[in-house]
Amino acid sequence: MINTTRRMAALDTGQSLNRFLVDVERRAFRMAYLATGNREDALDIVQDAMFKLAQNYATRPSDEWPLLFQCILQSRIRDWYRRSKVRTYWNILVGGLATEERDNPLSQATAAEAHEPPAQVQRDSAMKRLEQGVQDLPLRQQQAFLLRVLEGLDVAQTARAMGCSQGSVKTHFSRAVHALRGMLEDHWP
Amino acid sequence: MTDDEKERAFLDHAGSLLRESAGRLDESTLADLRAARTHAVTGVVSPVRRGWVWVGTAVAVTAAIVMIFSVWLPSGSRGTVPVPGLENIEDVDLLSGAEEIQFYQDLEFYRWLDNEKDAG
Repeated sequence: MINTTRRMAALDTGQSLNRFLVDVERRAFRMAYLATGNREDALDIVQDAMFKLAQNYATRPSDEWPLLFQCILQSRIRDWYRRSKVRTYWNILVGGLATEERDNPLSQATAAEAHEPPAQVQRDSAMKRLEQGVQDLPLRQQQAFLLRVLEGLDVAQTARAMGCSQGSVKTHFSRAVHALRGMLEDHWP
Repeated sequence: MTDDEKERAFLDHAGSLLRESAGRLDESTLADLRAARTHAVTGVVSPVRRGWVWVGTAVAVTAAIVMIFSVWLPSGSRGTVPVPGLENIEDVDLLSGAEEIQFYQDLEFYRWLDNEKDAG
């Protein structure tokens, strides 16, 4: 009887967790992709974050999951960034620069954009410019911007997810917005 | 339009574009994300029983220790491992008999007496 109850609870948790991950996975992938510029690395990061959340925090109240998931995801992105820096230094040391394939998963979806109406083409162009601008930001500014604008977290939640103070979040976010507005505002409709 | 309003409009537009972009991933990426999610959720619905994990770990560690002792320990030294400082273990036996301690303390005297007899 106890086992059956436990099993039912696990199924409920599994279903709730699945719904949560369905809701967040695409944005999470986009964030990881913008940080890494590499599809496989982005997938690894998201998969790792999903697994860690399920393994360690599935029993926590479901309203805590979004922030916990972002904490894990941002930490994984930072880890990737540190490793890639070491890799870059090493490549420079041994004389060969790694040329990472930057295969954009969006490109296949927009392959037929030549046949789209002008408004959509304009929107796609704005989207590409924005994504390029975000990719060019320093990592901390990128994280602050995406957590605030894409995920809709407030300053305190963003600070927790990034593992820094609220003051730092405000600084990173303000610099990111300033840089992006300078890059894009004149070109946007 | 004030600068704050311009910034608000910029952020709204950026958020809308980023959300749209996230919703337009290709099929292959979506399939990979689905697989990753299923893998993560399966761990919650059918967790590996921790008790069996502990039993398995204990058995593996014990087996490893037995292997190390049986393979790495030289066969000639098995059971007769010398302990430093106890090479003259028979001395311990001699010294542990309390009644004979006086005899060993007087040993120098008997040796001297013997020499005196020889000389005399």
